[in-house]
Amino acid sequence: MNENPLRMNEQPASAAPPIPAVQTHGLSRVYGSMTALSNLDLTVNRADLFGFIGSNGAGKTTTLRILATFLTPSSGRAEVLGHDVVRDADRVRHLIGYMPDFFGVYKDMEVTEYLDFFGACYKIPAAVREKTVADVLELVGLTEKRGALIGALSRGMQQRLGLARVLIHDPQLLLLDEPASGLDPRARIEMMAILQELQRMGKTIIISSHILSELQTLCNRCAIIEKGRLIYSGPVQGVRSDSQVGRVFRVRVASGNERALDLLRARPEVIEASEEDGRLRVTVRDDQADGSVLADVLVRGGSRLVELREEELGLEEVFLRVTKGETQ
Amino acid sequence: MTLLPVAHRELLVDARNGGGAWARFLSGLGGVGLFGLLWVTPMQSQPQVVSSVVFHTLAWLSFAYACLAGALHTSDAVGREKRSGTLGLLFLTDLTALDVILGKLCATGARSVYGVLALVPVLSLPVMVGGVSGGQVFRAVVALLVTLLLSLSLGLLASVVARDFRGAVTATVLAMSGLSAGLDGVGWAVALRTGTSPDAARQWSPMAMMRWSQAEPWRSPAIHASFGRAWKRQALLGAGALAVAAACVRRRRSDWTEPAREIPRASEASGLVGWRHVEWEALLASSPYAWLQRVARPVPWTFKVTFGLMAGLFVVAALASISRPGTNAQLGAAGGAMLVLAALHVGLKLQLALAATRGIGEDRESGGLEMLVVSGIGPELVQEGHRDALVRQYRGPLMTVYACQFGMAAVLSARGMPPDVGALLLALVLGAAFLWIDFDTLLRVGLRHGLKERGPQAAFRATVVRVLLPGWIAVLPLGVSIVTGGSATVVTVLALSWLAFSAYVLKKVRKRARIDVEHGFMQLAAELPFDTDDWEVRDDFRRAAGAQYPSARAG
Repeated sequence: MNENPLRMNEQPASAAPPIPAVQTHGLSRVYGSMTALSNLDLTVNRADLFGFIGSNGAGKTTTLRILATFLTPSSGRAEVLGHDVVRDADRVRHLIGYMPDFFGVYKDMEVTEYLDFFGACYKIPAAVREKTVADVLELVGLTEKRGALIGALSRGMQQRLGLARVLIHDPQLLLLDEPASGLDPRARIEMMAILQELQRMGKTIIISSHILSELQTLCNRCAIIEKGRLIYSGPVQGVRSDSQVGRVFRVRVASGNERALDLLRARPEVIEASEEDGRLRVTVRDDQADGSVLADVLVRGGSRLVELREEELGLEEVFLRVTKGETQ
Repeated sequence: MTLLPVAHRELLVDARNGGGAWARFLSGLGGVGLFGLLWVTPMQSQPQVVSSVVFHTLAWLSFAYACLAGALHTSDAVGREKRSGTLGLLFLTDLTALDVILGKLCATGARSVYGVLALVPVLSLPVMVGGVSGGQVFRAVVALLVTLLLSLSLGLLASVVARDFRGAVTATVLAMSGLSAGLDGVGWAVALRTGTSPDAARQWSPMAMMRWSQAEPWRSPAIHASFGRAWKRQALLGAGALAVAAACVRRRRSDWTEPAREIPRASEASGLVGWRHVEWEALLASSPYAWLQRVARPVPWTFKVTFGLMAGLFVVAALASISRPGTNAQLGAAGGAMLVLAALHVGLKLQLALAATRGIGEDRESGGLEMLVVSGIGPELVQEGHRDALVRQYRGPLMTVYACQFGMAAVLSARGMPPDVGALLLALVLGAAFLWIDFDTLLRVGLRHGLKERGPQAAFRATVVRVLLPGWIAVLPLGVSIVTGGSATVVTVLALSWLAFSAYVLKKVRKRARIDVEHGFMQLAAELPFDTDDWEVRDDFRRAAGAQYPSARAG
C-alpha cells in the first residue's frame, strides 16, 4: 500500500494551508415556501473527520448536495478548498467525492468494470486506472469480490463499492451522506474503520449519520443542525461541555447509600445527588469541585468508596438536549 | 483514455447479454426468411416484378423498424439512469452532457445500425434477380440510416424531457408518426387542394424520403431532376437529427434530475363525481390491484387526445369517400381512411403493450409487489386486477377501433367502389377477429415481461416483438398479393394461412406467458435482493405464491 496513489496527498496536519476544507457564509436554500437551509455558517478544517448531525429533514442532505454542486444555494455562498461551488463547480467536483444516501449502481456490471468505468469518466489514463482500482478495492476490502456482479453483492458490500467509487479519483474531501444506513453492526464497524484509515491518509471527511454513538468516537468535530439552522459547530468535546450543567459523577459505596447521599447533599458545591440502579449520581458545580472532594467527603464520613468516575454526556443525550425534535 | 466511457459501458453490458449479436443475426435471418417467403408466394407476375415487390416490402419493413427504433431503444436510455440514481453520479465526474448523450446515442445506435446493415445483403438480392437497381438499394439504405438517426435522437430527447418511460415512448411514437406520415399527409392534402407540388411540406418527412429513395430516375425526367434536391434534403434531415440530439445536451443541469412525482388522488385522477365514486369504491373492494392501477396509472391524456383526433380524421375520410361515389376522390378518401384505421390499430396495440408492461414492472422494481402478494391480495388477484384495470381503461379505444372497422366495411361496400375490394373486406373481418385476441394476448404477455425483464423498455420491446411482430410480418404476403392483383383464390388461401399462423403463434405465446407468470411470481421471491432482515417477508411471499401455484412450486 505504500505506493497507493491515494496517499499522495497525505500530509501532516500542521502543514495544511490555512484555507479550510469547507466554508459557508449565510448559506440558504428554499424549496417553494419551505426553507430547507437558513443562513448556515460552517467551517470544516482540513483533515477533519466532521460529523454532521440533525433530525430527518433538518437540512443535512441539502447542505451536502450544495457542497457536491448538485444544488445551487438560494442565497449565501459555499467554498470547497477555496473554490466557490457555483462559479467553480467543475473544479469542486474534482476535489470532492460524494456518496449520496441512496445511490444507484449498475447491477449488470462487475465490481472492477464499475470502478474502471468511473475511472474513465474521471479521465484517468488506462495505464494508471488498473492500479488505482486495485488500490481502492484493497482499501475498502473488496479485493476478493473484484469479479463479482454488483447485483449479487449484499447491501454492505454495495456501500463499500460506493465508497470505492468515491475514492477512485483521489478526492481531498469526502461528503458521505448516511454511509452506514442499512448496514448490520459488523459492516458498520468496518465502514467506520475504513473512514478512520482515510482520515489518517489526510482526507477531510464530512459524514452525516444518525448513529451518534459511532460519530462520538469517530469524529473530532461536529455540527448540529435543526430546521435548517446551525445550532452548534465545533469540537465534539465542546458540545458536551456546552450542554452540561455542572459535572456528573457516578459513585458506588460498599453499603449505606442513604447515609452517603446525606453526606453529599450537605456539601454546598453539590447541586444534586440521587440513587440510580444501586449507584449514586452526583452533580457538582463545575468550577467548585472535582472527584477528589467527593472522595474526601465520603471517606471522612465513614463510607467505603468502591468506585468513583466522572460521567461524560453521550452525543445522543447532547443531541436530545440541544434540539427540540422539530422537522420541516 | 477511454473515448466515450458511457458507450463503452453500454456495449460491454450488451456484449455480456449477447443481445446485439442476436439482433444482428435475427434481422439478417428474418430478411432472408421474408425474402424466401415472398419469393414462394404465388403472384401472377414476372420475376422482375416479384423481385421489386420483395425489395419494396423489405425496405418498408426496415423503415417501420427504423421509425420505432427510438421508442424501442433510446426512449428510456436517460430515464433509466434517472430512476436508478446513477445519472447524478455521472455528472459528478468529468463527463459533460455531451459525453453522456453521445455515448448513449453511439451505444444504442450501434445495435440498430448493425441490424439495418445486416439487412443490406438481403436488400441487394433483388438486384441480382433484376427489376431493382443498385442505386435504389444505396438510396434506400441511406434513407433508412437517416431515419434511424432521427428516430434514435427523438427517443433520446423524449427520455431526457419526459417524466417517465410511458410519456417518453408516447412522445417518440407521436413525433416520428407526425414527421413521417403527418408531414407527408399534409403535403398531399395541400397539393390536392391547391394543385401545387406537395414538396414544401414533405421535405422534412422521412416517409417521403424513403419513397423517393425507391423511385427509378429513368422513369421520368422530373424525378431525375429532383434528385439533387432530394440528396440535400437527406443531408438536412440528418442534420436535423443531430440538432435534436444536440437539444438534449442544451438542457440545464437541473433538468437532468428526477422531478418529484405526484400520484393523483382517486377523485382527481379522472374528475369523477357522484355515481362514479360509488363504482370506484366497489372496484376497490372487489379488485384492489385494479383500483391501484387505475388511480396510479391513468390513461395518458396525450393518448386520449391523439386517439380522438385520429378517430375524427377517420370519420371525415369515410364520409368524404361515401359522399363522392364513382370518383377518384372516393378512392383517395377510402385509402386515407384505411391508413388512419391501420394507424389506430397500431397505436392502440403499442399503447396497450406499454400499459401492460408498465404497472407490474414498476411495482416489482419498487418492491411493492411482494408486499401486495404477502398481503391479502395475493398473486391471483394481482393478475386479475392487472387485466381488469387495463380492460376497463382501454375498452373505450377498443370499441372505437371496432366501430371504425365496421365503418370501413361500410365505406368499401358503398356505391361506386370497384368490385374487387372483396379481399380488403376479408382483411377487415380478419383484422376485427384478431383485434380482441391481440388485446387479450398483449395483457397476458405484457404481464409476463413486466415481471421478467430488467426494465420497462426491455419489457415493452419483448412484448411487441413476441405479440405484434409475428402477425405484422405474416400479413405481408397477403398485403403484397392484394397490391399486386393476386387472384381471389390466392388471396383467400394466404388470408387463411395468415389466420392459422397467427392463431398458432398467439396460442403458443399465451401458453408460455401463463406458465411464465406462474413461475415469475415464484422466482420473484428467489431473485429479488431481499436484505437478510427480510427473510420472514421472503418466506411469507414464497408461501403465498406457492399456495397459489402448486404446479410452479413442484417445478
